[in-house]
Amino acid sequence: MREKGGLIIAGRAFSSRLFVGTGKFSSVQAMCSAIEASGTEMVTVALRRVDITNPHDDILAAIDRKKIQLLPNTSGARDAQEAIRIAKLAREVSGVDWLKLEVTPDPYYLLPDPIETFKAAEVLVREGFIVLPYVNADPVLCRRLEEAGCAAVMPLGSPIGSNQGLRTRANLEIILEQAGCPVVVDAGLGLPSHAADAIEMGADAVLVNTALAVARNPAGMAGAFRLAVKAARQAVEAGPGESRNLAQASSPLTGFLR
Amino acid sequence: MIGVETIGEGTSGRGRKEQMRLKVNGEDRDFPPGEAPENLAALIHSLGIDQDLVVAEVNGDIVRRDAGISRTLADGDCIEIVRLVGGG
Repeated sequence: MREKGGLIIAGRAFSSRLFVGTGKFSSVQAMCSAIEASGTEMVTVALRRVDITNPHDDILAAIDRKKIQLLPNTSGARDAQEAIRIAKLAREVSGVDWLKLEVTPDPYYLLPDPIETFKAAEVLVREGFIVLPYVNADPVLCRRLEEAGCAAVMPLGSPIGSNQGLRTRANLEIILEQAGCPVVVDAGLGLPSHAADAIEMGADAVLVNTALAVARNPAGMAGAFRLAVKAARQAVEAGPGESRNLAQASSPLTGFLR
Repeated sequence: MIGVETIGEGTSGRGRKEQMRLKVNGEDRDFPPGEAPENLAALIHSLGIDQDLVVAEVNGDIVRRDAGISRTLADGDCIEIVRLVGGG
């Protein structure tokens, strides 16, 4: 259920509405500083072959799992079968059944395959995973995934890593109007204003990676996103006025010096 | 290509005195007689990998960590060793 107060996904409460991806940082140290500065309580990780020539660095050691929920992803999966295989390996190695389901066969725009994503979601929900599917901003698909038992839906704002912001605005509005489960706007958020925009529209959370990882100062940018998300949420809770076409004077229309 | 012909002929991994070829993360690795890893844990250890950080598949089947990484290996087995890395 979407909560009016705090964010709850699959029974877990999150006090931060900013989720962070851990890819593309220049160092583990840069990633850690960004995670810390972001105040996030959920981070995504990926599953890859061990590099046998350099097996040593360990991302789990860098993440405080008492405070932060791990959300392994199925990146690299090109169809449902591959996603299910990656999901099971990720569950085994991470010990968590949370999953960012992503199936992206298209190498240019990395747009998610809705059919394969849906097929995989049905299987993975049945197998006890807490599934958060990364999808295009398709209201019908989001509903179907919610009905299939996904814990949240994660529609994209624009292609992964593109920093273009909310290019899918019209459809996001419909998703946010209709969804019964939490909606996390994922992908394409390049600036704090993009994240604030999504939260002000009613998104329950946002997921950001590239914008932080490629910033000159990742921790500085993570702090900026933290503030933006917090400010936007506070605005939502404060109840914004309606937007209108005609001007409405802020100052009294009486007592002019005429 | 020596040894390719023996793949899948069922030396079954029990004969540790025989040479063994394993495909590990996509690369063939040949173990001379007497040096073949006793089991999956021994293979992972011999590669300098901390087994607490990884999970493995043998011939497409996940080897559950609680079921024991002591799974024996056979000539021709295809092994994938994976772990978590940074990702969005």
